[in-house]
Amino acid sequence: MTIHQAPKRTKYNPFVYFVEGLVTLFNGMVVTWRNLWRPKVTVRYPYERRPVPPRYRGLFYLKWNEEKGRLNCVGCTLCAQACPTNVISMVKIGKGQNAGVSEFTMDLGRCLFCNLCVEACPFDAIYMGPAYELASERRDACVFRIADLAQGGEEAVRKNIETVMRLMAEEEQAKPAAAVHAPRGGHAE
Amino acid sequence: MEAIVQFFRDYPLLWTLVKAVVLANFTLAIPLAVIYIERKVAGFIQSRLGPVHVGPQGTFQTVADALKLLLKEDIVPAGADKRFFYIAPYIAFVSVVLSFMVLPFAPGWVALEMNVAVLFVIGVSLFNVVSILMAGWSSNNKYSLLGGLRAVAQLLSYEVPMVLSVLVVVVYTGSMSLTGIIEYQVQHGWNIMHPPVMIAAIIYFVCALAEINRTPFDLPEAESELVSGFNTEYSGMRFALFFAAEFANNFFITAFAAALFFGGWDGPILPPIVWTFVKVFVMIFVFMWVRWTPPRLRIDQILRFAWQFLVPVSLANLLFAVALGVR
Repeated sequence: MTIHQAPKRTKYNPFVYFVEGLVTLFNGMVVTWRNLWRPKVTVRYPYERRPVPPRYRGLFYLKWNEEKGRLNCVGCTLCAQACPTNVISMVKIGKGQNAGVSEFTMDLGRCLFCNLCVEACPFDAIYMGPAYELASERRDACVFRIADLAQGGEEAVRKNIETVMRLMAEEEQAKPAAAVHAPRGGHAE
Repeated sequence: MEAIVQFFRDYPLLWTLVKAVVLANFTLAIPLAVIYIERKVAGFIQSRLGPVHVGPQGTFQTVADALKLLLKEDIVPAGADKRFFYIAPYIAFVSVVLSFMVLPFAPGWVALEMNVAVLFVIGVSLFNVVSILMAGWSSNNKYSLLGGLRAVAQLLSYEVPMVLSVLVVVVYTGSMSLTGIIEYQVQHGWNIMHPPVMIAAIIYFVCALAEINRTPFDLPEAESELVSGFNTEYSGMRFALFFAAEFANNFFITAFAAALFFGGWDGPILPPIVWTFVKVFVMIFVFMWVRWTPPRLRIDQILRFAWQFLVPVSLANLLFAVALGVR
């Protein structure tokens, strides 16, 4: 069995010390000299930005469906139910397959950016986009209304409501005249 | 212009006052440039850009910082020795201004022609130690006190080999006047060409690093150990003065080296004043380069290195110089 011995300490020799110091200093200075001329890694943020990764979880958007001329959202509130922090609230218009939303509000002050709402949506309606500078000095600036969220802004929201209303009216017309709705809550005697 | 200069020259007291004002302002202005270069070099070595926002390429950044420091509140810690606390930064600053007084920038550009300038500089630069000890002791803060004590131990140890290496130059040129030393070099070639002076220059370089508290020897203000060392408790203008004194001292110690070893203003084509500044800034760059390369030494390593290596070597070197170059 061998006993490991600590390496023998050489006697302190200032000259060896000095020469070693000079050599290591020289090596280090070569490294820093090379680094001096290397390209800089700084991105001067407000003026230049890094590209946002494709799956970046930034500001939400409601997808605009160009084919149908409306937002994909049907106001089913599945996203609102999936949300752990109650960020989402919405106002549904119409019903059935052609229903839509007239208002869709997200209070991002509470948002975790956890992506659960996006995963919950069966209609490809809500997504997370690349916009990221969401900080503000006012609390109410964290609340994003439907016009801020919809792809296409105000114009899209107006068209969306128009389309949904038209679809509802068409549906109404296509129905047989006999099938009139009974008043809600009342029993048909 | 000529008439104005002549007017001041006719009244020696006024002329002295003008020189004093110019020198004091120069001593305040030089740190701005040196700090800017320092930050740029530090940035480049760390693959950053350094200051870029204020002014073209960030050149006004240090001016803005200085203005900010001047406008800040001047805090005196509770239990501080107020008199010493107030006066310490001024002593640090004045010691640098005094050293600049005998420094020739170009032929005839010297505030005070002194025949013992080298001795004067060595004596005056020790005031810096006094001010650091005063600042550390009067702050009523353990970190400041430790920084101050370390500074004294270090600066006093490194003063010895530094003086001995400066003596080598004095032996070679047979003059203690800085103008005389430079004029000798203009005639006979730079001092650095002689082997003993070469050794002396290396020793001087190491001691200068220790003298201005730069990185391998920055124990008095070791951030990771002592918060900020002797100037921990200082704020506002007094802190700015300490900072200015440190960087002006950096400039001075390189200018002194340029005068002693590299022929001061001597050089072809360019005017003498430009040569002085070129030499100084090249050396300042080397100082910065060293600063961002090696890590900090321990206090016992530093002192052992000074007393066991630098002092004997510089003594032997002095003997060598006397044997070789006595005139």
